[in-house]
Amino acid sequence: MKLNSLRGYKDIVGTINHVPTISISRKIIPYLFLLPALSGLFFFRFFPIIVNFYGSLYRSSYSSQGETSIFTGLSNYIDLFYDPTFWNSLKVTFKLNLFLNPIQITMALIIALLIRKNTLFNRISRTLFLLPLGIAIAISSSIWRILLDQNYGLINGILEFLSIPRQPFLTSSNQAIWCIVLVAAWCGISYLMIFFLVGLQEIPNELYESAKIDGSNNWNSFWKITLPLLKRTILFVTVLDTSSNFLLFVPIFMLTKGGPNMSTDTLMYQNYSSAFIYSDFRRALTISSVILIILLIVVFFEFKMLGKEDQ
Amino acid sequence: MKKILLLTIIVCMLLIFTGIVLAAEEITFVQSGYMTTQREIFVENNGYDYIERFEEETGIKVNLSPYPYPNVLEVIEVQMKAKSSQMDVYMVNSPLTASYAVRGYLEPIDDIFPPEEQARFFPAVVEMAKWNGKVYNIPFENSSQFMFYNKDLFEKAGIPFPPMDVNQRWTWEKVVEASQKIQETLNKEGETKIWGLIFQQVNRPYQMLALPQSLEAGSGVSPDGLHVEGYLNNEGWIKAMTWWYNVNNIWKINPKGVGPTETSQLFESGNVAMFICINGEISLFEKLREEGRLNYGIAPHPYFKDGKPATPTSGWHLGINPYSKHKEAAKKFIKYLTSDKIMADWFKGTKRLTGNRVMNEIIANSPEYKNFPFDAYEKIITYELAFTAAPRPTTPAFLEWDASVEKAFSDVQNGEDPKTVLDKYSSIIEKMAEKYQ
Repeated sequence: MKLNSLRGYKDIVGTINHVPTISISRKIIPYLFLLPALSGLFFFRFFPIIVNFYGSLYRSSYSSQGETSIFTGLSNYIDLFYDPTFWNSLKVTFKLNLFLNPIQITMALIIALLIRKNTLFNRISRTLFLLPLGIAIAISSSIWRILLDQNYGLINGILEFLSIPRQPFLTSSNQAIWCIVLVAAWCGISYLMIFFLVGLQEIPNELYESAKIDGSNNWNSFWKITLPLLKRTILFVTVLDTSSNFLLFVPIFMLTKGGPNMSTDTLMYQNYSSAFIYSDFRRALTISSVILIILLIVVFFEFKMLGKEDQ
Repeated sequence: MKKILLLTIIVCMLLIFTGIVLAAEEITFVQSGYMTTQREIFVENNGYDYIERFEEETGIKVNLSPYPYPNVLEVIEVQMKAKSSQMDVYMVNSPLTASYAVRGYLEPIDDIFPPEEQARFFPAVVEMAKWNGKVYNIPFENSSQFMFYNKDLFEKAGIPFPPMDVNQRWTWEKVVEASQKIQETLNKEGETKIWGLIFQQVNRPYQMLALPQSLEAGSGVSPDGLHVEGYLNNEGWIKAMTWWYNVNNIWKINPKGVGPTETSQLFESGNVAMFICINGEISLFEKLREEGRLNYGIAPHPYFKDGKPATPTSGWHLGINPYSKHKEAAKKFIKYLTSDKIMADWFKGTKRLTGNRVMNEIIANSPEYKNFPFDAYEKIITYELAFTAAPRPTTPAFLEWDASVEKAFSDVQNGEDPKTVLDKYSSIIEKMAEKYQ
């Protein structure tokens, strides 16, 4: 039955190869299949980027006639360059990413390694670790806000029980950013863990068994087998994590609103406040373009660094 | 056959057309979230629904679109930036009049609010509805402040109650002293469950501005409304901010990290001795008092010993979207809502102040306002509105000013140096206000 259908397929292919008009359709058809996805990508991704960049080249001015838009070229970008609040936001964004990304990726990998084997305990653990995914980030941020409350929060209650002084957490310019790291890490680790679990399952067991026969311990197997074979997954997770953390917004909006003293005022929050609090949409468009450019540069370097051996 | 078909099509089209013409006109009213509860209170106390009555009288259907504060401001920004005709009428936070007018967010309404109509309203609120000689909205509500206090906590600490008398109002210095005594007496060592003082709209300029204004430091904006440098960071502002710093970081009589949506609950639960609060909450507290859950008293808003009394004021107005496709219906609606009849019932029902003077007659003539707690309207509010009410600044950069000053108060509350913070935000606002200069 299988052989017959294969022959039939070969006949069809053979026929197609000999008819030039059908050959053109063969070239076009794949693109036709891709068209809906590509048009979606263009209209919902590339087109807004173009509109965003175009809008950032204009400036709003107000007079008795109302609002007028004036083409000012790159002046919004130059303004941003001389704006200390922008540099502060850039610093905060990098600080956040510098700590949050490694924490999330390392923890996700460690947890994935620990619950990799298909035992009953691991199956229960997997479910528990995946629970944060089932809670909307806005809700989990609200819960964290209650937990971290300076006066009535559970965490301060525990600290007090342990005779440790109460901590200001979200109201301290030194501690707020670490609270955001904690909340964002809690929310994001389980998501990244799924990718690592899939990556780990793709590594053949035989490799570990033969390494074991050759006298390798778990530590060596991790460095010599697991990590090299997970490189593609790590690259994917790193790029995914960087892009999502660069655009991190909800925990900051829910917990600190960029404060105290602008210590959690990331570029994304600056973007939001420029547009919706200060109603300066031109500045918001400019910041969006800058975020995109920075993100492209960072991801480019991540590809360069992590994708080396593959090349 | 063809003729019958053609006739049927024509009849159908005529029916559809007539249907469209006869269908009730609809307007959308974007309002602040608190209006939903106030509408229920209004209906409960007046026995009719003002929206339903308007619909019955005019045949215009009103779609209500409530958003919590401050999200309602974001909704207005987004809709107006998009030049959307979706909303027809919206609530305007009155100090934003200049900002909205300059950006073309409001339809001028001099035709429906001429000087003879304006005379029915308090002059101060009418001024807030104008920009560059044009009227952009009609005052709906006004506001004033009380210092509510928890009688039980005062009694336990052995402190005499602050009097309900504007001539004997407490100073902020006395408030701090009493707060410290209450906290020392009622809290266990190393634990703060009872707080001396809390502001309902903590860190929001609406309520905090009274501090520098009491020190005669101005509203933080230049007379032309375009600059803040030297106004927001002048000596009086630094002094007021230093007091706020001390309240939170030295005397520790106000809880940090509590937002404006949580403050009322702290007072209601009996954990706060003195609560600086908008007068409109009186109905809620009175209900709790009747149920035996809150034993409260009312005193006038405090002031600084070296300064003069200054009290927060102003409120929501009603404006029309210039892109609305139902401007005439929208005009009818805001005229109806601000009419003497509805304003009188609004005040009677909700106890919230109106921009319309009709509330003064009710306070003067109704026996309800001769006894506690509503006697506070005659003893305190009428005086405050006439002599101490200090509005927020009139500036096209109000949106930027308001959000930045809130952040400044918040940063100082969290322990940042007052002068550094004021200098920083002065420079930020100055930069943002450039586009209006």
